[in-house]
Amino acid sequence: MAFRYKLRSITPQDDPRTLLQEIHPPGNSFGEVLSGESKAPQWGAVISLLKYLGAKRLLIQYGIRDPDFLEEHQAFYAKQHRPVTRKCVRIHAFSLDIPIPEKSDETAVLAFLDAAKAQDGSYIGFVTVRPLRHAPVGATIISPPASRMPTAQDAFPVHIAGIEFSVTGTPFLQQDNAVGACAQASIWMALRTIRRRQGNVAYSPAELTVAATRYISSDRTFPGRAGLTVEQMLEAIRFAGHDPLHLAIRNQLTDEEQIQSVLRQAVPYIESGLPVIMGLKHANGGHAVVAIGLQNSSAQQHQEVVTPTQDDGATQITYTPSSAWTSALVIHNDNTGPYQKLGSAPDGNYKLLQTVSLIVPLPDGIYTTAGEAEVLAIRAIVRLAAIFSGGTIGTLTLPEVPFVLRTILSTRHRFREWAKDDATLAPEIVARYRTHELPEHMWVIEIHDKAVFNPGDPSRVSRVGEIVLDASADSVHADALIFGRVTSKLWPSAKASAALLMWEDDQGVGAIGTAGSDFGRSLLKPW
Amino acid sequence: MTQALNVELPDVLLGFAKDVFKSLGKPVIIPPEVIARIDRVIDESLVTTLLDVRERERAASPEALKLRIR
Repeated sequence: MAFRYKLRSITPQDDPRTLLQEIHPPGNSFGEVLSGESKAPQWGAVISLLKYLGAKRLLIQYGIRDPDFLEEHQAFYAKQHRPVTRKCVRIHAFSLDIPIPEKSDETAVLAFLDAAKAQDGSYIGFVTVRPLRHAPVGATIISPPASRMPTAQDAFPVHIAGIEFSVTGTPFLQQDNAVGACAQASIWMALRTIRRRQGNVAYSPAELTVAATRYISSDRTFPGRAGLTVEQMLEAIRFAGHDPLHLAIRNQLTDEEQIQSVLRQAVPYIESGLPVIMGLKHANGGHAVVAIGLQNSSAQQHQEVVTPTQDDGATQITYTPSSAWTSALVIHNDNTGPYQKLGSAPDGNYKLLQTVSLIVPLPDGIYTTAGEAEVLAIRAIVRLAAIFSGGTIGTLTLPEVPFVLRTILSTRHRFREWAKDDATLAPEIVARYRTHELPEHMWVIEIHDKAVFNPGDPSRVSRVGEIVLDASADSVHADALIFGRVTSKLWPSAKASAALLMWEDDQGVGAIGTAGSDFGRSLLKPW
Repeated sequence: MTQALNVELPDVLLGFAKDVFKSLGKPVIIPPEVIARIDRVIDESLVTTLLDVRERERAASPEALKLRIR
């Protein structure tokens, strides 16, 4: 058996196509196909990303039994007359800049791996190369570039020759349209990202195709080039143990309103670290991408202000959702590559305006949506206003300064960690946040002073309260409110620097006033 | 920006609200009937309701559901 590792340097001048020709699996009768001209832009995008991230050395690992490709092979390629190898090649990228010996033998490779392990952060990630000329990029996890940092990501262990490395990023995969189109690739990327956090089974694209077409099908299962409808995608996600939320994007009057509608519905989930599968209506037909991060600006991008109360001058409360600061989304697009930007530029090939639906693979038991949570938060803010302004001003006065609502889904553990570490909260409030009985998942709707809110600068503090809701409540029929907190920053006329915490449980509604009202920080990693 | 809610608070609520800030750090239990009174005000004022949001989010057009994604 030939030695299965090869060390190679990589430079900015390296041509992706030459590299692909060089690494084809030895002894693979499909090799000449792989080494032929590949037009896959995904491969070029992946190699460009590795170069951008400072990759200096590649360790090429042959004979990889990639679980996803094995499933594809069993479902499709094993049945073909012409032999197609079931083994892939994996390329590991390192920023380690040490000399490479002329011969890649056991000693050289193991010495390199020992040196890489000794240097923190030298491992950049890996690309699995399928033996398919039409779809070489298989399961891939590469660190993100700093300018396109995802919120939906995880740390993945990688084992090479007895050494464990780790890469933090969002899994990427190019569709192999014989067994699944972009719909399956998007579902795979989304579910693989949250697999560890939500503890569900990881299905291959081939298995997702079978699951999607089990009950609703208008053609053969394989080849899967016809793609999937949204209904079939929902079925596949459900089969994988998730509870998919489907949000419709209705036609708005103007392009700007349409973009606002997409962002307003998608941003709370993405900010919560959940991937959102976006159905796009592209000129070439339906396409799916996975939104995994936000590009937030320091300045407000959209003039969206929401008035959920009667606009008659006597009864008016307005707020701005934090999505008004989002200029673009960070996406994995299986057609073009990982960590791409989906914005609103009119000349873009893929753009926000093409969005027709959003699918969020929620864990089981999230019955209140982000949109519903915002409405419930406004109700809670009016309740808090009655107590706060009643006690400090003497009349019911709604917040006197413009405010922003940032809506995120959090686990109780993350929320308590945040409370423990936020020195601006009064000790009585910290104690209650840390010890109160809480559900597993909660909607945390942060209230920010709009004059200082700046999501483009995470170090900026602007938080003046929060509403905490039970995410498992049936929002229409059950009480979702757990906590509500506001400070006098929302009522400058109150003069005294104070905060009010209100809570609701099976004993009724309680309230506590505390001194102090400093701006607090956001809950940046809610999950 | 104007934030306004032109409603008189009942004296009983004002009493509880003032209690909360009279002795900072001491919990005060608000009776359910007082909360119900505030909630009535909210119900009369809110234009966007939970049902509106459900309608907006869930009303997928048949065309969107049948769009073939590939």
